[in-house]
Amino acid sequence: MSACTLPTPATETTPAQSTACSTTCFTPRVDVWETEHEFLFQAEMPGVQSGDISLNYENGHLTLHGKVKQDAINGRGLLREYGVGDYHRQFSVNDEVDAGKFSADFKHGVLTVKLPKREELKPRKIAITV
Amino acid sequence: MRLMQMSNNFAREMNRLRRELEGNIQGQAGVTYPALNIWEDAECLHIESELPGYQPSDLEAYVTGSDQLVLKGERKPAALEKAVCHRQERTFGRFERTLTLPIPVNADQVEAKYSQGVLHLKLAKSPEAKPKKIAIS
Repeated sequence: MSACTLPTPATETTPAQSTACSTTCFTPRVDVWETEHEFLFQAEMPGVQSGDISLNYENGHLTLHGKVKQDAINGRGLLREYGVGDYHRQFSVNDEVDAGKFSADFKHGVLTVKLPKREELKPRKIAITV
Repeated sequence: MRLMQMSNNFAREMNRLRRELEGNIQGQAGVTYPALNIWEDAECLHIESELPGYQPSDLEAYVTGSDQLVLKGERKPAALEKAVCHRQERTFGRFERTLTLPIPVNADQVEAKYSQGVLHLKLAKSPEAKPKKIAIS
């Protein structure tokens, strides 16, 4: 795996707490990868149903938000090591991406967002004639 | 006196930084992994844990005797070709956690469900652990 040494093209722009959350708000853990063709965000949002995720890209800001439906616990609590609540995080993304071609999927509590790079910015191989 | 206080504050701050750093290296803020929530109802003991990004086949749960629970798992990183990492906050690898259940359970009646990255175990209480109503004459 590559080491995280390059300056990041995606910087975080919001504090952990946000007014967008109705309950306790958590900052999801996020990995950001860059391949030749795209930027890839992977955010951990366990407990969220895929229909309760909102993704927003506006003015160079990518906002990830996940709403958790909290089931009322019918019973007596014996151990509570973690809290449950919504997830919120915002990144500023540079203008290399093609906003019209974003795609996302959600599997096993991990949200993957793919931001393809703009066509004109992708490396183009130049044929060399002899 | 002032100097003492300052040096105490400094030591405290250094400790906090050290804990934070260690937490970052282990991927957990000095907490046993994975974190668990446990509750009971009249019939069952419920255990829940947030384990995002695992394949269900890479998670294992064992009950030994009537009160020992072992949770094991392995999370593999996404295989990306020629990818450059800009930010890595998620952790990967194996974990194992053993705990003594607060209430004895019936090891033959355990249900485990992994949904949206949350593992939920429902363990039926052993008959001895259920309250028995005493008839009052």
